[in-house]
Amino acid sequence: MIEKAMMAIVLFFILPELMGLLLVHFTKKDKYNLGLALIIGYLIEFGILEILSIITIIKVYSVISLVKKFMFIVGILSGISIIVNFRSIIDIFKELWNSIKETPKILAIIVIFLICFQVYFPVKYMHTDEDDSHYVGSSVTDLETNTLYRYSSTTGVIHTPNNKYIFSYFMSLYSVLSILLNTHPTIVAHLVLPVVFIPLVYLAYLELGKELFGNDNKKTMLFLIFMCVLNIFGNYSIRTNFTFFLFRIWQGKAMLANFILPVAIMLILKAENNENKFMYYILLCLTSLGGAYTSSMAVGFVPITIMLLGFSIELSKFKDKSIPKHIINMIIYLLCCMPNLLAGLGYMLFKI
Amino acid sequence: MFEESLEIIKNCFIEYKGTGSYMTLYCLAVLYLFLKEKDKTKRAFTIYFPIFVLLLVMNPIFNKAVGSILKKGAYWRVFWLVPMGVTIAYASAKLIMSLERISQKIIVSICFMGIIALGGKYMYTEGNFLPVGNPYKIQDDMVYVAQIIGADEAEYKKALVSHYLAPYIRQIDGSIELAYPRSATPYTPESIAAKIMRGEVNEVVAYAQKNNANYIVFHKETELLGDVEEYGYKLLQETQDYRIYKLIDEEEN
Repeated sequence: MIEKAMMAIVLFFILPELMGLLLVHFTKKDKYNLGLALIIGYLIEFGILEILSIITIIKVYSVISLVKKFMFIVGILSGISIIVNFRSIIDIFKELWNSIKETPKILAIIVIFLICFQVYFPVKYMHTDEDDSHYVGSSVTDLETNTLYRYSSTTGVIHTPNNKYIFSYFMSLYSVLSILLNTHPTIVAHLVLPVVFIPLVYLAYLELGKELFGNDNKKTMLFLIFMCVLNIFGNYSIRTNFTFFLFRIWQGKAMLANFILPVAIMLILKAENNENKFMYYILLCLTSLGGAYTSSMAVGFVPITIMLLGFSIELSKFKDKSIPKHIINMIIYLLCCMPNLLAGLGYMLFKI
Repeated sequence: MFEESLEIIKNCFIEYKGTGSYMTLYCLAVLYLFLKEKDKTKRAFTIYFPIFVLLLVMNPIFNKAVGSILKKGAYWRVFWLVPMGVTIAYASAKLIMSLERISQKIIVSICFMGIIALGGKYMYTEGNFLPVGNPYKIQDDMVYVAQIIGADEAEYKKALVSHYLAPYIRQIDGSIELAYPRSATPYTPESIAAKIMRGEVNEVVAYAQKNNANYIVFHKETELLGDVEEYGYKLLQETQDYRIYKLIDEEEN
């Protein structure tokens, strides 16, 4: 039990944090931002798994080989991050300590309580969803057969993979975590991932709130409290992103709506608010890749968000810049969407 | 030409907005920000961006273009592109923190949250979250059925199960094949899922034999129209809600 707990801390916190710090190091302004680093770390993991899963499915490699390759890459990136950030470790903890000191305590306690409240229910109770016969069933099937997406999740017989899922096989995440944690994938999906992903989504909202309120901590905390309340009472329709967030956050489409899209918006706002924009565009491209991993809908949703928000910002600042500058910015946004556009081409053209 | 698309968009919007309370709050939030927000980037995000999104997704041409990817049953997901929650939360926090006195801020915050709670619907009701005694977060009895079949000595396991059980068996044990895919629903009268629900034993057994299913699982509430054991399937075990039958070889008999 203790080994599993330690492994969980390494997998869900230490490794993504290290990988994220490797990239945020080059943003200058967010160099010591542990919250942003953790978000970026998860996007890096999603991006790695997107590429490795596609290769594993097409080449019919084993799930075990996928896990080994994943951990090898994660290990290398984490090691490089330690080397790059070694001298900054004191500054990182100073920044963290300053953030904690400046955070309004009562509001922060309310936010933490509300997040814990939302995490409590999937841990204590169950919400069943028949779609999991495909999502979670795929992972259980993959571990049983040691292949990826070669056998039907619902019947167990060999089948031809559907293009849509080849390029967005989020289910491989359950398999990888299941092997690393030595825990059944259904338990990983239904019990472990809500505990990880619900706070992660609020971390994304925290960073988004900071961009909207210009680092005014009281307003950001109040913003988070309202986000919590909106989510908790958002079941006025079973079709809302709020419902998908708190009912089935382990599913890729829920992560797309509640994590990927807000992160994309956050990074676009960060790019607008900073001189050193290039690195934020790189992170936006990474978001696009991570989004492609979560769901086939990301092929449309992420580019629509990036392009329309980018266009809206350029339109609002039309007189502030020259037309060629606006066009260049729109081309940059388009380039950031490349991973999704390539995945879309894959859906349409690829034949297994 | 676009009548079908417009109908899909209208129905999906109605499904998505539900009671309409959050949509109303969102419109009020956008109006407030239109009047009060001065920052160009934030105006672009909270006002222009959602307008462009709605112009796109409520456009029948767009609906036709993505119809093959987002079928009409799932088109409502496009409304997730509208940053409704973030905008309401942003406008609320901005308005409240513009008030002068702390007492005003607290009272207005509580009022706003009360409006959200009354207009919305609480997530954690008994219909949505049920108590369970296992870490798989699947009904205990369904887990038990899967474990009984999984623990059985047969090397090859293929089960023909009640429709209630079908989505869950393979979430517990991937070694148990299922005799019909998810697309077979009990709403089609001639489907095998419907026949199991109606307890048509001879049809169910014939399907099981044709598909080499060596386990059949009926829900206890199903009135069986025949004797399963006449066909070589013996009762393996009962759980609280299910009866599990196993095909016994002639040699064993």
